[in-house]
Amino acid sequence: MTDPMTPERFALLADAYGGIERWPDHLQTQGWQMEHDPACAAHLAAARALDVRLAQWQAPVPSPDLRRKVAASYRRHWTLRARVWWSALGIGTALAGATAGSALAFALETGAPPAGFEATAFGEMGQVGETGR
Amino acid sequence: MTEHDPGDPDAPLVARVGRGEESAVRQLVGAKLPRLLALAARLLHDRQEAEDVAQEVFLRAWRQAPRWRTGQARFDTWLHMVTLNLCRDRLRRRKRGTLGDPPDLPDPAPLADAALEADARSQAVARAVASLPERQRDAILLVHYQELGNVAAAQALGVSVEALESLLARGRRTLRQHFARLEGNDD
Repeated sequence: MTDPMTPERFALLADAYGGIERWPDHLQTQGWQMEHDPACAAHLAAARALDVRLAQWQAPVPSPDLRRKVAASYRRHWTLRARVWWSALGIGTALAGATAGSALAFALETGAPPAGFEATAFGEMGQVGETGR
Repeated sequence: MTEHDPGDPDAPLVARVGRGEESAVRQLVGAKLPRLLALAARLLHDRQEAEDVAQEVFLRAWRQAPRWRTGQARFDTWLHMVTLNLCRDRLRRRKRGTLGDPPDLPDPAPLADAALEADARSQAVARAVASLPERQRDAILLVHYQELGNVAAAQALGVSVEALESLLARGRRTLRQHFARLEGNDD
């Protein structure tokens, strides 16, 4: 529910937002209905004069070069991320390989298979070969 | 499936950016870069620094896009919050003297009379807004220049809508008095 528009409320809104076209959408209709009220009109004129003054502040426009740089930064960002991801995967694979190699070396040295070794397909194949002889 | 806030008009575009669609990237840059550069330039009063900030904001946007879920803030509001924070950091570093003052850049070409006048008027407004207390200045930049809605601007500043309206009204009143004094001196 919107509060009823009074000259006081009109003045508060004009002070805060400026011209009626700058007010929150749901308040504009009520604002337009009161714009010719003498008490409101003076406030509105002052607010609009300030809007005009503020509009004189020019802002830079992005150069085509900056647009290109920003758009290109997207591709660079994802290329870099992909590289980091693949490097991490490579390191992970290398570590896994090193661990497996160490385990195998340990097994060959002690003659005992490391835990879980007999459960591999190689163990099964050995048994099949023996029974088939 | 991506959850889109029906109230966030940028959500579908951001989702496309997150999926790596280059046309969406160009569209987002085209839509947001001018606004964010303008905000940064108006806060920092230095074009080069403003461009650096704008580029940093987009780097953060690229990181955020694939996992963006509209929660309390719209994507546009989030971009404004990031820009504000980066600019505030730079302004603080400038105050501490670690970033140096903005350079006095020479004019690239002599300006015609009309352009000189427009430039002088622009500088006068820039100085007046810069002289406001920080929160009043930021409120005016977000609502008047960036044309954020009052709810979005209040979110970006971390205040209620009532507090935002009070900041706006006080800031605009000070500016009106400032310009009235200037005009009085001109007479």
